[in-house]
Amino acid sequence: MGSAPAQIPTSFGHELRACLRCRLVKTYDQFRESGCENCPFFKMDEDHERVVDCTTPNFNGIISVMDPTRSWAARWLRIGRFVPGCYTLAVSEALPEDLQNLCEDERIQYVPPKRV
Amino acid sequence: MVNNKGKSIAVGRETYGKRKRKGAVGGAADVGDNSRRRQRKNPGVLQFFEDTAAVDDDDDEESDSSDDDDAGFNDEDFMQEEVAAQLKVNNEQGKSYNLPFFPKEEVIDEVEFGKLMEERYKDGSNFVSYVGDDYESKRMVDSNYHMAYHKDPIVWKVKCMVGRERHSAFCLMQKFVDLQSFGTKLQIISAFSIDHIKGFIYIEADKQADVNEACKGLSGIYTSRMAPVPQNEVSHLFSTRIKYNEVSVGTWAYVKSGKYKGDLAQVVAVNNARKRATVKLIPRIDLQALAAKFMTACCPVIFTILMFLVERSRATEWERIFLRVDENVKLSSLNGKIFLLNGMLAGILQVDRHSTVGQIIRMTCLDGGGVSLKKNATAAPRLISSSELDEFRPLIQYRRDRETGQAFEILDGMMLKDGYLYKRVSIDSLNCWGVVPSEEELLKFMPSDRNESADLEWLSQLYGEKKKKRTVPMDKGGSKGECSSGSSLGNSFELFELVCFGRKDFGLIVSMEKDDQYKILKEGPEGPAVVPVERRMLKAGPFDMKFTALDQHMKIISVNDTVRVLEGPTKDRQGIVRQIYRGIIFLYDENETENGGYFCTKSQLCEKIKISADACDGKGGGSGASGFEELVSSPKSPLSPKKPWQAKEFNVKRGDKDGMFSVGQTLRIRVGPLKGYLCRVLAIRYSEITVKLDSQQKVLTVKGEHLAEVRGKSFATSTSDDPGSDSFKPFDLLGTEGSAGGWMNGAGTSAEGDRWNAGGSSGERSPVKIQEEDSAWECKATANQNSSWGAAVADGKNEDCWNKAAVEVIGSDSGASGSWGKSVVPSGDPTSSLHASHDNWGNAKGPADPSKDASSEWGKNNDANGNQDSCKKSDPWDKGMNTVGNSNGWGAATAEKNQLDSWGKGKDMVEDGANRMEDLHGAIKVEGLHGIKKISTASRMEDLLRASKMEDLHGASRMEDLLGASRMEDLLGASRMEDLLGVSRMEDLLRASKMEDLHGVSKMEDPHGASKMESLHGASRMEDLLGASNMEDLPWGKQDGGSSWGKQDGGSSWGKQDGGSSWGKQDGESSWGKQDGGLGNQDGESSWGKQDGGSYHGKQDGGSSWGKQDDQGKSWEKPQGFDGGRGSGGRWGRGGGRGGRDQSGTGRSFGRGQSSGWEKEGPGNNWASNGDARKSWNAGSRASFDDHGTDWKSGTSQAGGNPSNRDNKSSDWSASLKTSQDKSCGWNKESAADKVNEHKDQGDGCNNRKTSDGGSATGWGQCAGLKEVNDSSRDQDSKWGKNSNWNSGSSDAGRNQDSNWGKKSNWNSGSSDAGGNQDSNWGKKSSWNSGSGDAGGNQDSTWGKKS
Repeated sequence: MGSAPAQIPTSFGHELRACLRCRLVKTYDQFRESGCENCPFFKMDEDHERVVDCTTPNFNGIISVMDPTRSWAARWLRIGRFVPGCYTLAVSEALPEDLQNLCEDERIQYVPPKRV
Repeated sequence: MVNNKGKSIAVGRETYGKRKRKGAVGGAADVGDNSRRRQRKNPGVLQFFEDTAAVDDDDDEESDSSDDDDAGFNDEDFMQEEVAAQLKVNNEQGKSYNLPFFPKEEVIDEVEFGKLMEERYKDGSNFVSYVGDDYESKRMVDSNYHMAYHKDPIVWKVKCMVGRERHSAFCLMQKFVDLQSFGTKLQIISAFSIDHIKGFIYIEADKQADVNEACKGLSGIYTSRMAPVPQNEVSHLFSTRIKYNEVSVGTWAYVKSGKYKGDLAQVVAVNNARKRATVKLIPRIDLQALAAKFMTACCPVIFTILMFLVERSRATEWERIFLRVDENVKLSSLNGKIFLLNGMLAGILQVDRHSTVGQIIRMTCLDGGGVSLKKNATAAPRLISSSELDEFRPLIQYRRDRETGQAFEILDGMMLKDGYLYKRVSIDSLNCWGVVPSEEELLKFMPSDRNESADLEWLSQLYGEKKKKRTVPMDKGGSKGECSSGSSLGNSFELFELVCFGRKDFGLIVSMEKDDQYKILKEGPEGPAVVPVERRMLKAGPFDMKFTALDQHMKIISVNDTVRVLEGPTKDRQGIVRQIYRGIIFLYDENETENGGYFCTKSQLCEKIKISADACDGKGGGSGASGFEELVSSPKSPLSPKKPWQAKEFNVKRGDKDGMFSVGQTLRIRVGPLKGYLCRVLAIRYSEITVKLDSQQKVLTVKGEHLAEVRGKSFATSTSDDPGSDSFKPFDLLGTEGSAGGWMNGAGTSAEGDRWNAGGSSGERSPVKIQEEDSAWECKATANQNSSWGAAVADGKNEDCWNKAAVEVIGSDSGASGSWGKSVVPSGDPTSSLHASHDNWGNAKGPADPSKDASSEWGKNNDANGNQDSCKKSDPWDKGMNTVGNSNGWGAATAEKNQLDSWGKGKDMVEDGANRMEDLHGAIKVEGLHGIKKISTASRMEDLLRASKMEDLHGASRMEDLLGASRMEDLLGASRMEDLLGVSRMEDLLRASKMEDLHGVSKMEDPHGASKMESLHGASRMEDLLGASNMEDLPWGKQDGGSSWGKQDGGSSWGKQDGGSSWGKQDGESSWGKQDGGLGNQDGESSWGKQDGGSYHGKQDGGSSWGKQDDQGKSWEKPQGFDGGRGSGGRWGRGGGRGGRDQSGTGRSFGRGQSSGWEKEGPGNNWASNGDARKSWNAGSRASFDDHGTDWKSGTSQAGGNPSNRDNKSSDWSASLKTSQDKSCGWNKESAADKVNEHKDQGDGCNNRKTSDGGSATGWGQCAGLKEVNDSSRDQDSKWGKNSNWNSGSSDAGRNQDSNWGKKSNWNSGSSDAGGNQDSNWGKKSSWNSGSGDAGGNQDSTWGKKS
C-alpha cells in the first residue's frame, strides 16, 4: 500500500462527517482544514462551505481500512482504491447535483448510495 | 503462508476466478476435489474452517498466477462475483443464504447488478460454488469459488465494549498509523464496526494472531472472545439496509427513546436526507428546573454531606442552602467543593471569610437545585402556556425554523410553540408503524392543530385529563386564552363559564337565553358590561390560563380568594374570585342578584382580603393560600394546569378533606419500606392513590393514609402570602394559573420533598448527631447497644432484663446513649474531661437514668434471680448507680455508702465493702450497662461479702457464684444475668458450658474447674478485661482493676489487681487472677495459682500485682479474701499501685467490709490516691505492661491524666473491675466493665475524638460493638472483631484491645474448653501480656496465639 493513510478522526462525536463520495470519515474540522484525501477536487479545504455540502454527519458504520487493496471488506464497499483511513460503511445521502456535476467534470466516478 | 501473500492474494481472487474458469474444466479440478472433499467431510457450520483450510492447499498454485492479474482487479468485478455467487446460491439452492443476496441487491444498483449477474452466469457454476453446494456435489467447480474466496483475509468478529465499537475501529486505525511511522506494520487489513451490531467489531486479518497483536493494548477490545466470521456471512454485515422509516408530515409516531419515550408525536417536517424529522410533542418541561437552571437558584436541601448536615435555613425554596459544618472541619477546605446530592445535584460550597467554624455556610447549587435532583424524573407532559413562559421571556429567542418554516420560541434549545414542543429527532427514533393514537391522545394535539394563528397563546387543556371532557379546544381567534372556563363540550356552555368571543373578548356567561343567545359578563371600558352573544360566537375559554392575578398591592389573587374592589365602577364591592383571566377577575358576591351575583373588575383595582378557605380545595385558586396549594397544583403534575373547578371537583369528590390529595401533589410515603420517599400523585381512586416515586421510577398504589403531605406548606404559604418576594415571583409567574403560588409551592415542595427525603431520612438522625456529638454518639451507641444488647439478651437468660434495660435505655435518650448512656456518657464526659472518669461515669450514670431504670430493672432482675438482698442492694446500687450517674459514678456509688467517696479515694469504700462492692459494681454497672447487673452482683457482692465472699468481690461473688453454684448462678447468674451478659453468660456459659463465656461458665461449673473456670474466666476476663483493658487498658487497669476489683474482691486485692496491675495491665488478668483466685479460693486456690500463672498478670501489669493476687487468692481462699485480698491487695497494691498501700488506707476504708481486702486493695487506696496508685499502676502497667502501660497511657485512660484520671478512671475502672467481678459472677459485668472500660477508653478516645469529632462517634459505635461483644462472649468474638475495628477507629490502645479481644474470644472459647486451657491461656496471656506490654497489637497477636 503505497498511499499514505488519511487523517484519522480526532474525536468521535457528532462532529464526525463522512465524505459523500468516498465515504471517508473525519471530523468537520479536519475536512475543513485538509479536505478529503480521496476527493481533492472538492477543494473542501479551500471552500469551507463545501465541507457541509460534500460531507454528511449521517452515516452508518465505520470501517478502518489499513490495507484497502487487500481488504475484502473495502473492496466490497468499493473503497478498495482509496487511501487507508476510516470510512463509513454507508451514507444515505447523495452528493448534491452540482457536486455530482463537478465529479463528472473531473471525470471522477461517483456512485450514489443505493437507497432502499 | 496465507498471511504473506499480501496483495497477491487479494488480487488473486480475481485471478482465481479467471483461472478457474479456465481450470474449471481442467487444471483446477484437483483443487476442486480437495475442497469438495473437505466440505463433504465437514459440511455445515464449519464450512468456514474448511474453506480456510482449503486455502492452504490452494496457495501454492495460486501464488504464482496471482501476480499477473493484479492489474485486472476491479472493485466492481469483485462485487459482481460476489453478487453472482450469492445469487447463484440463492437461485440454485434457495436455502439459507438468501440474505446475502438481498443485501447485495441494495448495494448494487440494478444495472450494475444485472451486469454482474450476466457475467456471473457466464462463468456459470464456477462462481457459484457455495457452502451448501457440497451437498449437492453437482458442481465440480465449487472449488474455484472457494479458492478465490479463501484468498481473502478472514474477518474476525471480536468482542468489544459496548458503545466502543466505533472508537475501537478508530483506535485500531490510529494504532496502525502510529506503528507504521515506526516502520512496523500492523497486520490487520481492516476493522469495522457496524452500527446495529453492538458489542462487536470485525477485524479483517489473515491470522488470529494478527488480530491479537493489533488489539494488544487497546482497552475495550476483548480478543479472548474472537471468532472468525464465515465468509459467506460477511457480506451480510454490509448488507444491512440503510433504510429508515419513511415518515411523512402529519403522521403520528411514538418516540422510541429519550425523555419523550413512548410519547405520541406528530411529524411536522421531515428531512429525509438527514433522516431527521421535526415532531410536535406535548412538552415535558420542568419549568422549575428550567427556572432553577437559569436563575442559578440555590436550593434548600436537607442532606447529610459527608459529615455535614445540611440544614434548611429558611422556608424559602430557592433561596439558599445552608450547611452546618462540624466544628472540626476547616471551612476553608470546603470552599468550592462540589457536592453531589442524591447523586445528582451538584452544588458548590461557598465559604467566605466570614464563615467561621461551626457556622453556616452557603451552598449554591449549580444546576437547578432541587429540581435538578429530579433529573431522572421526567416531567409530566403538559402544554406550556405562554404565561408560564413569561418568566423566561428574556431567555426566549424567536426564530423561524428552516425545516418547518414556522416561528418558534426557543427556550433553552427547545422549540416551543403554542404550548407544544417541537423537536427535531432522528427518524430512526420514531416509531411510526401502526401508530393509531387514541382519541385522548389526539385530543391533546387538537388545540394546536386548530389554532390557526400561530400567535395564539394556547394552552391548555389538561394533558391527560381523560375524564374531563372539556378538552375541546376552542379557537380563540386572536386572543390568547380566553376564557378560563372549562369549556363545555361541543357547543354547549355552562352558566358562569368563562368563554371567549369575538376577537379578543372574553367573559362569563351569566345567562343563557333562547336562540342560543348568551349573555356574557365582560369587563368593558367602563366597568362590567353584559353583552349578548350568539352561541356560535362563543368559544370555550383557554384551558390554560393564569389563574392568578396581582392585586393593587401586588399580592396574588387566586381563585376563591376574597377580594374587595378599591376603585372603579364596582368600588367597595367585594366578592369571591371565581375566574381570573388576563387581569380581569370575575367575582361572585352572593349578596348580589344581578348577573347571578357575578361581576368583574380589573385585578389591579382590587385588594385581596383573605384567602378563602376553599382555596385549599380549589386547586389553582387555593394555591396561594395554603400549603395545599402544593397539593393542589404541583407544577409538575400533568394536571396542574387544571382549572380550579376541576380541582374543586376533585376535592368535592374526596370530600374536601384536609388530608385529601390531589393529582400531581407531592406526598411523602409514611410507612413501609419506602417510607420517607416522595411521590407524586398520579391518580386517586377512593382511598387508593396511585403515586409515582420519581426517585425510583416506580409507580405504586397506596392507601391514602399511608401518605402524608410534604412539609412544604410553609413554603407554599410563604409563597402565597408573599407574592412579592422576589424569589417567589418568578415562580409565580411561572405558575400556572393561580398557582403562581402553587407553583412556587409545588416547586418548592417537590424539590424539597426530594431533598427532604434525601435529607430527611438521613437528616433526622443527622440533626441529632449534629446537635451534639454526644448525642450522636449516643445514637450510635444506642444502635449498637441495642443490637448488642439485644444480642446479649438473647444470649443471656436474662435477656429480658437486658432487653428491658436495653430497651429502656434505648427508650431513654437515644437509647443507646442512655443505656450505653452510662458508658457512653462516660465517654462523652471523658471527652470533656478524661479525668473525670467519675464524672464520666457519673454522666454515664446520668444518662443511665434510663439506665437507672435499667438498673432498677436490673435490680429487679437480681431480685428475680432470687437475690433479693442483692436486689435490694441492687436497688441501692441502682441508687448508687443513679447517684453515681449523677455524681461521679463512683462518687455516687460511694455516696451511697460513702464508699463512693472512698472509692474515689477508696477509703469510703471500705465502709461498705459490700456497698463498695456494690458501688463498685454499681459503678461498674453504671459504667457498663452491666453496671446494673453488676449492681445486682454488687448486691450479691454484698451478700457475698457478708458471706465473706463478697470481700473478694468477684472472687467472692464469683467465688460464691462459682462456689455456691447457686450463688454463682444466683449471683453470677442473677447478677450476671442482671449484669446482662454476665448472668446470661455466666449461666449460659457456665451451665451451657459456654466456657466461651469463659469465666462464667468455667467458674460456674467447676469451681475448681471453676478455678479453671475462673482461670478461664480469669482468662476470659483477662481477655475481656484485657480486651476491655486493652480497650480501656488504661482505665481499667488502673481504675477498674484497682478500685473495683479491689473493692469487690477484696475489693482491694482485686481492685488493685484488676484495677491495679492486672486490670490495668490487662485488668482481666489480675482481676482474673483474683477471680480465679477467688474461685480458686473457693474452688481452689489452685485457680489462683493458675492465676499466678497469673503471673502473667504480674508480668503484664504487674505480675506483682498478680502475685499479690495470688496472695489475695490466698486471702480469697481464706474467704476473707479481703485479708487475703489485702494481702493480695498488697500485691495488688504493687501491681496496682504502689501507692496502693497508701491508698490502702483508702483501701481500708473499703476494707471495712473488706477493709483489709481493701487495704490490700490498698491499691485501691492507691487508687484512692489514684495518683500514686495509678502512677504505680501506670508504672506498673507501664513497667510490667509496658505496652499496656503505654497503651493505656496512650489510651484514654492515660489521657485522663493518669493520676487524676486514673483515679477517676480508677473509680471507673473499679467499677469496671467490679464489673469484672461481676464477671466473676458474670463476666458480663466484666465484659461490661470491659466494655465500660472500652467505653471509657473510647470515651477518652471519644473525647479526644470528639475533639476530633468523627472519631469519637465511630469510637462509640465501636464501643457499642464491644459491648455487644461483651454481652455474649461469642458475640464478643465477633464483636470484638468489631472492636478491633473500633479500636482502630479509636485510640491505639483501643485497637489493641479490640484485636486482643477478638483473640480473646477465641481464647475464651479455648479456656472454656478446659481450665487447663485457661492456664495455658493464661500462659498465653502472660505472653500476651508481654505482648501487650509491648503493644496492644502485640498483645493481640499474642492473645490470638494464646487463644
